[in-house]
Amino acid sequence: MSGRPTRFQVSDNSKRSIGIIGAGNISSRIHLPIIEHLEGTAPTFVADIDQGKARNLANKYNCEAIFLDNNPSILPECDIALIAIPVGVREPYLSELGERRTPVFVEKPFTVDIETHKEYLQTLKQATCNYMRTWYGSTQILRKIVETKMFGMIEGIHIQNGLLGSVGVGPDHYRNNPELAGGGVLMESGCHTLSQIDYVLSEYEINVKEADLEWYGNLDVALDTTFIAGKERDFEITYSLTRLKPMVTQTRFEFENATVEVDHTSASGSPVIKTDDGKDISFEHDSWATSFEQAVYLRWQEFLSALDNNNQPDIDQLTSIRTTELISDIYKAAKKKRN
Amino acid sequence: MTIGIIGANSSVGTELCVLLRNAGLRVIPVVRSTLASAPLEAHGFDCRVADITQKSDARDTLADMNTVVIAAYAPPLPPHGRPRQARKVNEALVKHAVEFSAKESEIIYLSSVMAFGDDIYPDYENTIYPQEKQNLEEVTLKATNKTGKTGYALRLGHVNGPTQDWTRNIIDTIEKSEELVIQANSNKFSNIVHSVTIADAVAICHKEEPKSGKYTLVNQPQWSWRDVFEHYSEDTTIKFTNPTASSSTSIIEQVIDPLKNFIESHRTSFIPYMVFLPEKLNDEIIHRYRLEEINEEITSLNSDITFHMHHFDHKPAPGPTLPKLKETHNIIQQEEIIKDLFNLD
Repeated sequence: MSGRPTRFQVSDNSKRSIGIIGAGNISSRIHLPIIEHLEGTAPTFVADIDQGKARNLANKYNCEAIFLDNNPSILPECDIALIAIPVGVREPYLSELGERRTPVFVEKPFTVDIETHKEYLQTLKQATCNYMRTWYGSTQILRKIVETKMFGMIEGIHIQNGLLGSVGVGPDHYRNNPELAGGGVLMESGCHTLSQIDYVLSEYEINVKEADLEWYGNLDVALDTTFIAGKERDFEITYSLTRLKPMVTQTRFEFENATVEVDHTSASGSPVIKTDDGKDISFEHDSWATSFEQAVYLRWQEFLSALDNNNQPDIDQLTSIRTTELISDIYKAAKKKRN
Repeated sequence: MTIGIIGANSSVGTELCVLLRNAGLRVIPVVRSTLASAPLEAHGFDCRVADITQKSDARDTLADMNTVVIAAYAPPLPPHGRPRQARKVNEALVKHAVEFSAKESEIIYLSSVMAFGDDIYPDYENTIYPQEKQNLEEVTLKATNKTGKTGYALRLGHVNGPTQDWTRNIIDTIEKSEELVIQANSNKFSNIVHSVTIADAVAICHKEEPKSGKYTLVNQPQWSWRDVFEHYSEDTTIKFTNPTASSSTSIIEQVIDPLKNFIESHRTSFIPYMVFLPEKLNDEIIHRYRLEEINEEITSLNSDITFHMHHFDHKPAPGPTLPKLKETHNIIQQEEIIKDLFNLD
């Protein structure tokens, strides 16, 4: 990615139809309002296993409501499909859409493991995953700093994220069920951070050195992991993620000549840069997202531009296959495994 | 056959004179003062200087006119006018045009889509303008009906043309930037009318004499806001950011719009009462607000330059329209004659 997505070009009087699979909050509060603002697109149906939800949401956007009864063949044709259902139940829909050669915009995480990810990439024509934090201003700035080596080589990266507090889900929510969610905190939240690392260090090799997971039943609730990353020389990335105790959320990049700190989970977070000679530097931008909604909008724009301007968009990069690989490797390397 | 244009020195009147003359019609500009006649005389028009509110002037000036276009309008509000006085002047212009024009003539009153009032402009603050335009339409049609002449009240959309301030404003805004973000629904009908279409309409009334009545006059077919801005942009990338309009007219929608306006102005005191509202209504209110919140987020993201005019919020003007109008994009090149005459780019 070398800048903002280019303006999405559509032919006159044409609209791309977007089928919505999953009528939950992420579709109703985020994706559909954003799709309303995307030029050349319109929602064509809303599908859900809950008929009432599907109908309610479809009515708001003047499109068809589809009751999903585990039969993906009933899905109407569309130009792009949004997959906003739990990762554990996506397979039949992704297979069906793969056969139809329909491009898919998939909510994170893309899939549960690297083997499945690779299989999907064989069958899907075009796909992206909603790793929208790559469009956060702080992520873009970090990437620029790394690319340009303005503060020298990277010497180390330290990431920590505490998620103690209200989870905001009820007892029946899919996130309580690792079969539906694909995992716990690593799959739910860690995937975003890893997608940011993948994006910022796109030119670097990253491998899991060691990993430690805490479990609550079959849900991972805390993670400590160390990666080895390298390009011209190796350095360590430490990543701590926990639901069990308070922890300041922060990413710190240590360069030869400066440190850069930012709250990587905050769209509006600005990197704080301290150079070795004591200077404070700040970056301002007006091109990238400073809110969650803006970031999702840019992610959509990116995908639509890729579809329109390039017959073979980089599906590995759009779905962040390396994020899935790192998650799989962490689960494999963890000293304590899921029961 | 002669077409007289009362108020020919107005921005619309001037362009009409040029376009109708170019179409081979005999055009007589009618203005109130020698000073007002100067720019038209300088471009080869033989103006008649007369105060049409005076019967004697009207009798002397309009007797040979087969079609009279009333492009003059006395503004009813300060600093330029007073309501009662303006109404008297405006009614006199119409009545004298009807009384003193040639037998069996056509009288064309240039009204405005603003006459639709709240139907298309819900938040328009200048409520006297729609009222006065509606009144003058009625005066025109009653007076022509009484005298056996044919009367037309043409409700003009937002007039665009090479010398129009509105048009210059759009062109200047576009030329200022490489990328312009328009806070409008790109597919929404704009209610724009180019002066070439106004001239076409006058020519149709003059030659074809369609049935008397009120007609909406906007570009044919209606131009969307995308059509308008892309017409004027050469190198500037135009982006739009606004949700597409819902075509639903459910009961809830009919309740929500005025309720939403009320909520907007009484937000702090209203929100606590939402706990008592039916869930479906709350759901719809929240949905609408979410759309607006997202709109603001995306607009601020795209704020290279964000351009908004209140016209973007107006609803498309309903018909009927005059029959046999030519498609605007097929005749728009006639604007070149105006640009050449006035040395415009």
